[in-house]
Amino acid sequence: MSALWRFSKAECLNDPALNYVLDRAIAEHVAEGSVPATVRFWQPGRCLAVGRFESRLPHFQEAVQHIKSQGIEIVQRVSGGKAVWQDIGYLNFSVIAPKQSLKIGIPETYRKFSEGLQLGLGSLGVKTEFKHVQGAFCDGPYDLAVNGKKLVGTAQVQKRGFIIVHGTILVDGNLDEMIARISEFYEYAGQLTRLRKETMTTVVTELGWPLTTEDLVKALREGYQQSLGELTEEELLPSEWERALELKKEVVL
Amino acid sequence: MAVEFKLPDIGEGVHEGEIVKWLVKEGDALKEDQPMVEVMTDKATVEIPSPSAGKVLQIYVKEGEVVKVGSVLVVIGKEGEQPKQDGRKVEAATQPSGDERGSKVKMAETAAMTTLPKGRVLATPATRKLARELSVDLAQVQGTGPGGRVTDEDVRGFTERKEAVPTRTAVGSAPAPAAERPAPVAPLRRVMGDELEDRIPMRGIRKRISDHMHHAKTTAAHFTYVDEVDVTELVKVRDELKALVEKQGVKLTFLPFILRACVASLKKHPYLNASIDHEKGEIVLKHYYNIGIATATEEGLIVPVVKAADLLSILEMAQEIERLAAKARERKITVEELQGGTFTITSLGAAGGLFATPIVNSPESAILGIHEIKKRPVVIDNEIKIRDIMLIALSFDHRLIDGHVGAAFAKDVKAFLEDPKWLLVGA
Repeated sequence: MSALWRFSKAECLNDPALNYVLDRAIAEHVAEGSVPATVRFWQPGRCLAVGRFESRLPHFQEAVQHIKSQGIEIVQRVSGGKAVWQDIGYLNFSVIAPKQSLKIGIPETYRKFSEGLQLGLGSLGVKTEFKHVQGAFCDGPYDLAVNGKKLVGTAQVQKRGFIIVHGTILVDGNLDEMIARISEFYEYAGQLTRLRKETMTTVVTELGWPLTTEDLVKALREGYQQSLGELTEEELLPSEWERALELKKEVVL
Repeated sequence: MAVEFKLPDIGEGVHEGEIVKWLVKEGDALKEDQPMVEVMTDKATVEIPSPSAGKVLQIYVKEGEVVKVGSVLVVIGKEGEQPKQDGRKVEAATQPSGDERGSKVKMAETAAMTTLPKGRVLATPATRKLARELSVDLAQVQGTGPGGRVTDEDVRGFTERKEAVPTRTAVGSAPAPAAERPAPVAPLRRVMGDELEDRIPMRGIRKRISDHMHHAKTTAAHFTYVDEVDVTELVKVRDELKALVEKQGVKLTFLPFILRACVASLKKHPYLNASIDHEKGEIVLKHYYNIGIATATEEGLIVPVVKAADLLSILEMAQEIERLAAKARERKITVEELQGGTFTITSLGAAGGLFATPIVNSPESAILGIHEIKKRPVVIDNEIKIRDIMLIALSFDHRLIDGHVGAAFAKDVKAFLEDPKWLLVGA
């Protein structure tokens, strides 16, 4: 396995499910050592991405049917946690690394693989800290927040041979629509979830000036280079795409 | 030799995980490093591999259970080995022999994948933390875990024993000095039972109620107004109508009358049928009257809504309440039937008591609690009479409803219920 890190740019494929399963396909390649550890920035396209264990909600199927009936794609992530809305204005990051020791260290892994994100956002003037923001989307103890408001939602998966830390950054997404879509899903699924707009913020709101996704990706890549070392831009292998196409069937709801 | 595999240390600050999926079952042969079980903590999903090759003898924890770091998940043994009958309890209660002790220390270390410095008391970080919190010196605690490892129960048992000593001294005779005769921990634990606590996951309706109540209590400025209502006349009216209505297959309770009284009073006091739109900074007064009826179910409290209650007759309201209650009991109620309420009535009548202080059903602005009708002595024209009295408790959100407005509404409800002929007229 190469000691270098691989970097993969935002793929705007407009195929949400395929975008989501790429994390898993890359991770399997990382685990077997055929590709280096990878940092990836991506935008899956308009969809609702629910957590791996959300299917236990009392009326999960009804909620899925309701979302689909409005022409919105719904996918199930490899990670746990609550539903996340995706559209233009949201950027995802994934850090996929081999799992070399048996030590689990969830908080340590979050800190290690979020450092580049924090450095990159910091270089733009956005100071973030770990905080559990109640009332924000997909809340958890390793959210990144600015002045107590949630900016990035994260999730972590450890399986044999690999670790994935991935998350969603609010760039300048429409929060009203996000709140409406997520609330609707949980309402139909039979679990009252109240999201509050004032608990969330976006990169553009914090900066006060518009920023393109390209510029943001550039800053974040710099941040990860400082944190992890050189990132070499490389195409994904054909076998990674093939594996993703196979896995896609499992996550489309 | 069977090995107990415990939930390993997940990382600082993480003390428990939910077992979401077993990837192996009892009797399966295991390869080293084979994924055995998937565990979910707050925001992370972890697949835990087998520490060694062997055979799954016994799985202790079911899918969906939440367990603490250090709890035994599974027993792994050699091919052909059988699980020890009730092995876990026997081991906890008896002291391991010297020989066994040595091998068990080794085993526990492999299983939990942590190494401990020699010469120290064996205990997980979580147990050490607990000991610090309870001011217990671990060196004084006799460990009952594998290899003499001190468990959470041992630490708790130790503090309980310390607390229990004075009582025993007072009751019993000739107490031995505590230092000379440290009482064994295990017998006391047996008396207390192994499980001193039950942990129930906050899920489904319970989770919903919890979130909802927390939100209501932390946003609305609750004010509760209590009054007593003389319902002697209403009792007569209802008793007369009951038999007639029952011929049509409908059970007539007091609720439809109370609903009618509330709707008539809400029309006079629109702020009680309102909510706050925070975004726009506006109070929304509603000209439709959807009355929620708090209903107990086995899973917890839900609030089916009688829609457009102002357009229904007493009989129609009785039918609708019965229909919704039946659906709620059979868990067939739909989301639509639980939505859109503008005001809520909660009845604690069956539970007795005097009165309670209800919590507003956000985003609504008021809720009326009604209570048991009891015969009480009342002074009327300087004479003591026996009357049917019901207490009502109205909670409302003082952010938009002042005390005198809430009181005026309650007085109107009271007036309608005390003189039910006005319910025919509506004002």
